[in-house]
Amino acid sequence: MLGVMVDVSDAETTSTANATFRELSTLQSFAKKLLESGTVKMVIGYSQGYTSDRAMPAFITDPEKASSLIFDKRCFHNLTMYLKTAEIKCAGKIAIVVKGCDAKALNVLLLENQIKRENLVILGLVCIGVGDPTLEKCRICNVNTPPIYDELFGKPVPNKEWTSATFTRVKELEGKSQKELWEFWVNEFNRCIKCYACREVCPICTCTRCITDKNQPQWVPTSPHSMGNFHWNLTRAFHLAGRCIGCDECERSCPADIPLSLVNWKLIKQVFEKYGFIAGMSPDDLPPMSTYVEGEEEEFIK
Amino acid sequence: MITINTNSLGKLLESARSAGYRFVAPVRDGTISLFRPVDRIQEIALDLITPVKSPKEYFFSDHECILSYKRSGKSLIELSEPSKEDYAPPTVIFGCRPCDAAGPGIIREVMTWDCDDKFFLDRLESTVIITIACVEADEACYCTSVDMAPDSETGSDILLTPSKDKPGVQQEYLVKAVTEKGSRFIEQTKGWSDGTVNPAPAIEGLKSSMKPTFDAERVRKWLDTSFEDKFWDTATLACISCGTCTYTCPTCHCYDIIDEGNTDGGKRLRNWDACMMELFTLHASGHNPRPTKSNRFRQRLTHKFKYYPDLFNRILCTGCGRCQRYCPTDHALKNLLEQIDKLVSTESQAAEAVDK
Amino acid sequence: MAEFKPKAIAFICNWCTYTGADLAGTSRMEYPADFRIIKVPCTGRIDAEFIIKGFEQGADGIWISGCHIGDCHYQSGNYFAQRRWSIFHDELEFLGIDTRRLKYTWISASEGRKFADEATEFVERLKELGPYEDFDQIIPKIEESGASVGGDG
Ligand code: SF4
Ligand code: SF4
Ligand code: SF4
Ligand code: SF4
Ligand code: FES
Repeated sequence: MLGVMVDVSDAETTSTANATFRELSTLQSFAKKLLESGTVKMVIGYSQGYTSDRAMPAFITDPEKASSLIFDKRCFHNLTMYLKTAEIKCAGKIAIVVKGCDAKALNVLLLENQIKRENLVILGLVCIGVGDPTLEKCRICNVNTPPIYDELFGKPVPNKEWTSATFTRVKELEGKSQKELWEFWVNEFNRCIKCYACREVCPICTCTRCITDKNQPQWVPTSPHSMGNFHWNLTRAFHLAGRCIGCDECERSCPADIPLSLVNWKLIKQVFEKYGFIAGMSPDDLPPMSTYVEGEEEEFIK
Repeated sequence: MITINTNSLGKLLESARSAGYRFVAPVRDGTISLFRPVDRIQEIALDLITPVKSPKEYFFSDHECILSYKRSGKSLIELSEPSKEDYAPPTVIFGCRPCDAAGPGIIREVMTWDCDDKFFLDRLESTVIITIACVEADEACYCTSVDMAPDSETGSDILLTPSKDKPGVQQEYLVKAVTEKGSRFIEQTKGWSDGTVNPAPAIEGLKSSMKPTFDAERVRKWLDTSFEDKFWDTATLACISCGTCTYTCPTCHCYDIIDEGNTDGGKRLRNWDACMMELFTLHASGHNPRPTKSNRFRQRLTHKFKYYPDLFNRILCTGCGRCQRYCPTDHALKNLLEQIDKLVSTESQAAEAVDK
Repeated sequence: MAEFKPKAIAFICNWCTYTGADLAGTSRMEYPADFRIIKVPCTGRIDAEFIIKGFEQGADGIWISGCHIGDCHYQSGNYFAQRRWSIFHDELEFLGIDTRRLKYTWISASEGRKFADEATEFVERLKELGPYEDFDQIIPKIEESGASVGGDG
């Protein structure tokens, strides 16, 4: 199912749970060298999680520990979110392990001047899917080979192109009536407990003070009642219009399992269909919400 | 002692409801699970280790009105407080695990400390907690490390002990009234019991296999002297500073009070708040005494394993394992407590070696 | 039953639409007075928050209007605005907001007639749609204790 990413050549020793990335040892020794030579102060990657079924982020500073790096289908975390944290910002030059989708976030962060390219060594992995069963974002991924990297691990595969037929899950929902949609979302958002894991885990939510944490005026009600939840979820999503790279980390982190990815992918789809834009493909393309084309006119405005 | 088997739980539900109780139990909703009022026994998910959300919200709601105001006339404002019937209806919480049942009793210490929190206390009083002892645990559970056990009675009014070592199957439960309130409830609703034979309880297996994974007392001693330890900075790097651990925890109890409304009327609300969030300690001046996530994580862990025990002589954690289970980065308490425990034992070994 | 009087909010730009409204007034054109005008410096100033907040405050409809494309006093404010609404509108629709309750127009300072006509059209439309009951359901009521007493999901 995971194709080239997983070493299935050695079928006997490779149960699905510990199937490994073919280039893992190359990655480990590369990371070790980076640390030994002092090129970087830290390597951010994945290691075995606390419970046997999970992987977790690893912050490696000791070259000897580079061998604890792993990569397999449990490594869905988008590690680039750590680049916005104060601890990592002052850590000096670091190396970071990224899948294609994660690398998109780096492009957005570079574009928005949130990170310094010279402070980063990007260890790109060719990935053709994580999760078991394979996640939806992986099914429609257009960056199996990352769009930005310094060193690539794995044999590059040709990237798929998006068409508007890509967004099947969003389209399914679009077919519903306004009343059905309203009931569906109010019901989903009702479960929100305002833990803000969706915001904290998002690499693109970089505001030092989120609008929901501002209270003069209090735009977003902080209470987790239906209205507050609707407002929060709409605002969170809209602030990511043209910026969200679709890593679906927000949905994965949400303890209430709200289908946040649908909210985001609707925006991704609209931005793609209307402006032909895909966030994170290059560090230079201005997102559609920050630019315009002279003379363009929207028909819905009379 | 009386018993009840799985088939008769419906009768228990019926008699509780006709005695005027709201019947709250663990249910599945899509991919998540939580405690919710149920009408039929079929809705209940008895095979869960614990639902994602703890039953804490039935004592301490995620948002609740504590005062409301309304303009009446030109210069008059009418104030009103919510009525006890509204916020504290008679409730049965059925199918709690011992770790969840213990939560409210532990929070009670602080809710009666410098003043009495009437909302919390009224609800505690109007609620009967019926617990089912555990026969299954996962890698995140650690009740035995925090002075609890799969069959702890702490906090329960009634404890059911299953006869088979698999959850969710046909069971014969031994019914024990733990509190006066529990006995009264059994009196009041009787008719659901299936007899008085003593089925052999099936919890010994889990009890003996669940060894403590750290020594809470040793951790507490380390905390006494390790406020500035560099451990905090490196060990908390993976934390994303969200509210998942605090909001799913049965013992976290911090809140924020806010006003929502306009000149015509509005409410004063009490909402959950979380020490893991940056805004929690931010002063109006802009200064933040806990600016980093390592500061905040240290607060959560130390509050639970040192400050609270220092004040009230109880650990502010029941070992339910939720913070470990639902942490988006697999990083939370159990993991760190074990790391600290290991650190202490290597340090003391090293010290011993030096002595020799 | 008394005739339903919709509550509508109009966020309009100071330079064109507001002046257009002024013209409609000084020319004594008739248009319904069921909406409250909130003047903003430019359509670029209209945040998505305004729309959500409007509904939260009980609006039955929201009207946004500014200078025609190419006429923005600040040159590009309305260019950014139209892209923003375009995407925001789609998202609102996807989340089940009744988008018939939203109206967007470009009205210049000389289009007093257009202002009066659009105002009439909008109020008539809202009257036909009736109160925005869907949204009203999620607005917390002062009478209700609001305490979820658990089980809120
Ligand atoms: S909004 Fe969600 S899917 Fe989009 S970038 Fe942020 S975490 Fe990823
Ligand atoms: S992660 Fe989920 S529950 Fe938490 S604030 Fe976001 S939407 Fe709400
Ligand atoms: S601190 Fe963690 S393990 Fe302890 S009671 Fe809270 S959520 Fe459960
Ligand atoms: S420990 Fe985990 S759940 Fe708790 S704040 Fe940190 S990341 Fe969130
Ligand atoms: S000034 Fe009218 S839209 Fe910018």
